[in-house]
Amino acid sequence: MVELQLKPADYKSDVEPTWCSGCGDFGVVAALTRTFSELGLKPENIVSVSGIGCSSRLPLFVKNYSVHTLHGRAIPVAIGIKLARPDLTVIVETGDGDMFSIGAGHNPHAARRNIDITVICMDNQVYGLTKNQVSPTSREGLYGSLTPYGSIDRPVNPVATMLSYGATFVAQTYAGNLKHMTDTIKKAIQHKGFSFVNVISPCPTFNKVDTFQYYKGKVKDINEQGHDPSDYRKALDLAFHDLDHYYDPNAPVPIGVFYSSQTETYDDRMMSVKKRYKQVEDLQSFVDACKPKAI
Amino acid sequence: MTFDLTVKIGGEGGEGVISAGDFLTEAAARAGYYVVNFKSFPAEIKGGYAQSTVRVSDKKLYTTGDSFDILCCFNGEAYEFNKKHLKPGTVLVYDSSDFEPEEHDGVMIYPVPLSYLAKDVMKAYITKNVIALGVLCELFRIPVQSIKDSIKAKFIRKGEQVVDLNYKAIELGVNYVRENLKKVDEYLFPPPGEPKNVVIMEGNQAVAKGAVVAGCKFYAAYPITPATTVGNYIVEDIIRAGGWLYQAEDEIASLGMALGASFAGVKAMTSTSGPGLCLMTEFLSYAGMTELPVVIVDVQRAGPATGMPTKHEQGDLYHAIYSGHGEIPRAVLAPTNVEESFYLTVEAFNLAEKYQIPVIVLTDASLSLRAEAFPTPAVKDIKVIDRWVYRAEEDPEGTFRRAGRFLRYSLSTEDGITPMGIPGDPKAIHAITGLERQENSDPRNRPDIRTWQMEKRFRKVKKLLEEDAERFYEMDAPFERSYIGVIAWGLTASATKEAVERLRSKGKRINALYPKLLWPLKVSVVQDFAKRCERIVIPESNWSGQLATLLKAEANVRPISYCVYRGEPFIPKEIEEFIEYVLENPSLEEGVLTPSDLYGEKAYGLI
Repeated sequence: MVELQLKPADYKSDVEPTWCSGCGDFGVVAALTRTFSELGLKPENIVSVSGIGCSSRLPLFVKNYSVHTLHGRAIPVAIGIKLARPDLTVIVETGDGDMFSIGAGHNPHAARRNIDITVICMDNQVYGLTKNQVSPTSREGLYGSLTPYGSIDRPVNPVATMLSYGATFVAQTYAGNLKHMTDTIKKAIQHKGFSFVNVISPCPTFNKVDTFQYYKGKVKDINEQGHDPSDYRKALDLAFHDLDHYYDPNAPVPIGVFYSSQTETYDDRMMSVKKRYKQVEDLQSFVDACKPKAI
Repeated sequence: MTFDLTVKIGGEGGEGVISAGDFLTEAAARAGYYVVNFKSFPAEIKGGYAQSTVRVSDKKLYTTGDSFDILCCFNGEAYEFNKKHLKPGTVLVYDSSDFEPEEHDGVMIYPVPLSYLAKDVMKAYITKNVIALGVLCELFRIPVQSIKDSIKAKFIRKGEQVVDLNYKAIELGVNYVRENLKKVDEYLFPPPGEPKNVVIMEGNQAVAKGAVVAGCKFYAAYPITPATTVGNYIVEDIIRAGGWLYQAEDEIASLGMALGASFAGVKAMTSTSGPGLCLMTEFLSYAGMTELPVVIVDVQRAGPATGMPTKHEQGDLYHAIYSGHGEIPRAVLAPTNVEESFYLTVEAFNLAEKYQIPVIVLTDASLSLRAEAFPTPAVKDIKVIDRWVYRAEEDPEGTFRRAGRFLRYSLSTEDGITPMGIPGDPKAIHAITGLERQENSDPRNRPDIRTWQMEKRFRKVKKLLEEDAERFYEMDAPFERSYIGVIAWGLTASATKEAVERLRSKGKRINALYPKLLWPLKVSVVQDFAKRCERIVIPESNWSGQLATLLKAEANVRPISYCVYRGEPFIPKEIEEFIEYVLENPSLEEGVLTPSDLYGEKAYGLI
């Protein structure tokens, strides 16, 4: 029997998204399901893991194994899944609050260890589920329910942060460009090792500044402009200018693959360590090892 | 003739005090005797006072006893720490090139220039502990060959030269005694008995071995004293068994990773101590809500906050039972000795997998460092439960599928347990979420669905209580009516057992109950026990009497608590004297006693 390739719609679950109309995250579902279809992934072999927030509902809207975890804790759970079952495609679908505030402590370790998971961060630069507070990626001056005076916090730079942590694939894409988003997510999933995609995914309800309208015309594909993703220094240089547009109305918003390099993954290294140890079937021997040595 | 001998070795950390104790322990186990060894390390990385206490007997041992018979001091500090326990009839062996002891009435004293012999004769200071072992062997007829075998097993990897050097050191110790000392005490190690089929494990090692035997394939943890060594012991075993150990970035991640591995289909665990369990509590609630099996070992230490990281306390019982937001089904097990640390870890996995709940194992710093010889577990006789994995072919009626969806949280079973879908199976695709949800995992806030799902989760606890609780209550209640019923948990139960034996030999009618399943509580067992006792007493290593409080609330017993919180475990004598005090004071009612109630100011210098 020939297996028919599943269409993007076949990867949609029966659960209706709870997002506001006009939310960038709808585009991410579309890009993800297209990617799954194009890569011919079987739903039963994909695990989508998320944290808490508007975007973190995403796994429930996609037909695959889904783990909706705690606020900020998608990455550790995803690592546990991947190390227990390296055969699975493990994708973290999360937001800027999970990723760069409450769960930020997990990022360096997942990245530096090059664990073969893909992290897609839907970055809307605001807390939506709790109704309008500034997020770690919000621009200075943004009004939120807890900053009625306009935020006085400097924002974190997602791309530069993940690059400096040693992620072996770092990209940024934009929810207003389905094709770019699909291509980028596809590359990230195909990448062997830790891949990070920051998706600029505007919130139409609470962030009235960083809107589709705002980004339209500002996003510039760095790869089209000749950026070579194997150049780490250049990638960092570009990344440091990622947030310039917050301060300079003429600055572009760079999208595309900043960095991609194929090196040994944690999973590979784990497997080669395992090979160095003789596998033991007889559990009794683990206990017998504690006997005092015979006279 | 019964035989019961306790040797305590004390000295500077790093001088081989601990390994000397380990060698003695092995020699005793080989000779076919019961042996318990308790180690205490300095909190400092290097230096500081370390000691190892080895008790050997031909009858079952519960503790290292009240004190020592033979004290071997590697330096003056060890002597200062222990001199108040040099009672008439005890023996002191000491390094006479380091210090001179005071006069002690009735104490038999053997000066040996250990440092001189090591430095100037052996030209190798590191052999000091082995020279001391040679001295102890010759003085107390400990089989030298047995110690040599242990030395060989330990040092052979470093080469024959190292083994030979140590053999020379032990012979130097032996010969020094022959040439310079005359035996004046009557302590003798017994001649080798029938060798027994035993293993020697430390508490944390027993946890690690139990986990591997239970089929644990994923272990994630963050280093924390005194739990770290569970990882040290499991790391290579778990790899050989086909699994993996991951050093997480913090305890939040540890439990999250273990839960991820569990979701992916493997048995998973983490170990930590109190501070780490604090960080885990959000995931603990999540595990209960999502019905993921997981084992969490809490090697308790003296809190609160950083407290005394290397010290004993039973302060996390409330934490284990009540921590977390909302209410979840969970089980809390507490072994009372090393052997149980092994078997209860297996049981923890069994309960976790059978009921799809988080199971917490409570041990403590002292239990973690205690070594025991116990009968070699026969793995083939150990019951190991694997989880109920969904297979569509076993579900022709479609009980667990509806409208093309897998029902992870189906309400169709009487006991609330439903099969788990494992990634890779196209027929069991589903979501798990910390949100309240309906049978097919879709989030729902409806009052009826919420009520049904809560009841589903807690029906599992009801079944656990009916099917699996009773065997975790060790009842030692020979008297139909007793003056005193003592209830003790964890390591305190071990000291209590010895105290109860002594009191009974004095004719006191004492019943005892040792609960090892602290949650959920099998109330009927506690109440049946309490009915047969005039008064209930509960010794515990914590401030508030946590088990006592629990039993007051759950079982309506009115206990007299005895609480110590100094960081050292109970010795049997204390519990014996506490129970005698209660017997002598019939008017004492429910409440909390501390050593100062019994001994006044003297209590502070007791241990």
